[in-house]
Amino acid sequence: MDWATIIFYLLAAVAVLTAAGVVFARNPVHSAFALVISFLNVAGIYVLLGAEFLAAVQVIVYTGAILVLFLFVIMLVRPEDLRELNTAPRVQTALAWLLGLALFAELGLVIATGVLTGARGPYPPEEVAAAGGNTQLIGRILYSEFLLPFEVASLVLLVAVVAAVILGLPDRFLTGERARGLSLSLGHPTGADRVLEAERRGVPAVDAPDLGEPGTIDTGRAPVGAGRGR
Amino acid sequence: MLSSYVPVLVLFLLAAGLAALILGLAQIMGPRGLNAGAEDPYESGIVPTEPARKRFPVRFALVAMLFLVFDIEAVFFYPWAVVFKRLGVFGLVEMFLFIGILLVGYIYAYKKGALNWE
Amino acid sequence: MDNPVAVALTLEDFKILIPHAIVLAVALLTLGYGAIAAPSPGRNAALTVISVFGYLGAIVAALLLTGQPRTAFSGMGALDDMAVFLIVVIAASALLTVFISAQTIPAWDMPLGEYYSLLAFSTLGGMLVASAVDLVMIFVGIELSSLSVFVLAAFAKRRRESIEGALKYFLLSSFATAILIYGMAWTYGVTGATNLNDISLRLATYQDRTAPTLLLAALLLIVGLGFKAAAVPFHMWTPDAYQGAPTPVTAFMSVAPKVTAFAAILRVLVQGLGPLREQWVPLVIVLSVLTMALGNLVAIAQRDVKRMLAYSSIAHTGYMLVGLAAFRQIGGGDESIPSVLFYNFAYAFMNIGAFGVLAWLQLHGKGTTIDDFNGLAVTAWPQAAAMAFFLFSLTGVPPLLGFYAKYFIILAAIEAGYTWLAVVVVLLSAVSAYYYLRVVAAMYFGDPAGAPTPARTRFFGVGLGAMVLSVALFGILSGPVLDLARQWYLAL
Repeated sequence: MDWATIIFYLLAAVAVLTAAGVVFARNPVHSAFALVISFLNVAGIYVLLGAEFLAAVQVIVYTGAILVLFLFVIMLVRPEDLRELNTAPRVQTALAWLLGLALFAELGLVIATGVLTGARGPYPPEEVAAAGGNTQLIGRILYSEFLLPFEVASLVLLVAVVAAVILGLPDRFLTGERARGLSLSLGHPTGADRVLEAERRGVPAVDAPDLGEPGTIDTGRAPVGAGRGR
Repeated sequence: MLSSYVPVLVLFLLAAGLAALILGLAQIMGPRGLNAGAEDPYESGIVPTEPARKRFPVRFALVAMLFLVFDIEAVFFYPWAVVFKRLGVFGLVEMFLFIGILLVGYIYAYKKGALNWE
Repeated sequence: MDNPVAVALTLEDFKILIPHAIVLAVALLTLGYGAIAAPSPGRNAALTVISVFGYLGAIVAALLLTGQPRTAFSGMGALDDMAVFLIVVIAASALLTVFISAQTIPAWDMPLGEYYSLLAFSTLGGMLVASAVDLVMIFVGIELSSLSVFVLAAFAKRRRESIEGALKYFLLSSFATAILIYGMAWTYGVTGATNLNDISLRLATYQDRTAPTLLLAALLLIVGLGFKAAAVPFHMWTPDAYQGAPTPVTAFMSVAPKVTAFAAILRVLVQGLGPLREQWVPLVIVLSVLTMALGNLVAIAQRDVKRMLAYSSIAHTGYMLVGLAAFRQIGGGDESIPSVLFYNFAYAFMNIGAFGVLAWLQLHGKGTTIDDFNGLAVTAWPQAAAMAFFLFSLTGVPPLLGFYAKYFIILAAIEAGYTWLAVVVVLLSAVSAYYYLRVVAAMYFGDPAGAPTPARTRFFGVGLGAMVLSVALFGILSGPVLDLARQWYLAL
């Protein structure tokens, strides 16, 4: 066994163990941190495979941005709202285990019995080296051969922006009926300025619209599945 | 191939060593027997009146989402930058198209007031 | 080192994207104009005009581009005639949705600009899938299509059911996407290609087509695509998402994403994994029987017409899968794929029509349960007649469009030797008559429970009328349309 193999098994073992930790941890924050470690180990595996760009993206986008967003959302939601996530019906949990294990067995079987030498792709390691490296080759192919999917990706991102705005903003921003006035922000979105503005318009502060309410999904009041069975 | 990553490994080891050193030193040299007040969150000297973990406005998540989208956009620049010279004008045009489409999203978010706390 | 990267692009390449470009223009214009202009009836009318003419333009452009099958963008996309057929169906379903949305969405205080824009983006995604010849392209197209529909499903964000349905749809769909992309990764690993034609060529040379790796790849792809098409047992999200979404959105999402999913299925399974036919057909048969059975049987138990139509749309997925199961080989002259294409076409008109009448009722202050249909023939006879027309067509009563759709599916199944499957289709269609005709019975024999509150719906009425006409007209013209589907499929 050479060094690369040893490092691979080390990274893979940690990645799998922490991935299990994501599922089994009771505290969602622990889950998120386990996912960070898992992602970092996967990035290590990408490096071993010579996919340096992918490894960098894995660290920048997944661990850097997406997981921070995860933690952010966990922070936004009250911990007592999350309790119901752990109370799936027993049958459902059993079924999930069964199906998960079946898929696992299937994959194991294929990997154990299947001939894993697939066809040679169009970009073997020699080609990558000749192009000057992983990032260079990705750049060369992405911006010529895969030009169309690349441009469509920008549309997907645009829809993501629109989606975030529609779902995250209160309705009065969307229908364009907000009163544009000077407001002194004290840096806190539901802070004093909200009350001041309400008073300025003659609305009692108590009835001032809660900025946090419209887009917020409060999972606390009714169980998920309340819409079912009608 | 793998040997080129030895500096990275050294960096990792140094970082881990430094962290262990700082924590260890704090353990050895730090004062013991703290009173309960020292473990409270620091609230400008004011006694906390309610738990800090209440529901936050969803607009924080909105800002985070917008950040994420433009972060992913930035990722596409790296491979483009390294082959930019070889792509020539064509590369410039396609990237401008990409940025242009995302700019529409930025302008939209701006117009809707998603970027300012009122 | 600085030798330029060869990019083989000519103006001809961009020609295949004309229909897509028109829909993209609709998306950007409605988004921009909706954000800039203050809400007013005039603005809303302008947005609607942009959408209507955009989709009409896309349909015409696609039809003008037939008969020149060519791949473009380094083999990423192609506007072969099958793509044209699917593009026309998807753009037409968007067009019909505009007709039933133009007055409903503003009446329910939802932003119309964003609505049309997301509708156009979803349509664009479906059109891109229809004209994709590469796994990567299919993936981004599906993502664009479904991401927009998630948001549309959550468009009534003040209603808990809307958010809940959208969330379920989003989570399960993301899960399905992960499975789909894993299947694509295996396919690439085994064949070393992402281009569907290359995949097909390489698979054809393989001696052992039952290699576990190949089977796993096909299985993962079928599961992923089955989710998107709402095939049982991957349908769990459907009823809640359909019921929670605003009704015009439900009309759209019961058709366009399904046609998109079938476009992807035709591309991936038929064009790409065609040589593995013997391996995936049994799976498709199992899925089709399960889907037809569960969709039809559970629909019986629904009192809510919206939910009933959700289950019935699952059942229709099952019928389409029967057509797919009859597939033998590309260009073999069998009726399987033409029948699937024709079914998608027929389904678009009658299903959006049925949801359209439902939206009309809601706009007039009614609910969506079967009791709300009581005596509709007295209080609003044109709408009742239209609804009866659509429901008869969905049941498959001759000589309506839906009858021919089922007829061609059954024909394809018998031709392929699956007579028993054809029998199942007929039997379950008979079951479906029960729950479809129950609504008709309520409309014509129920006691009127108060007249609908008046609302301005002339434009809406034009849309419903157009759909009634289409269902009748294309029923009569089913022969030529099927010929077209057959001819276009043969040009693949």
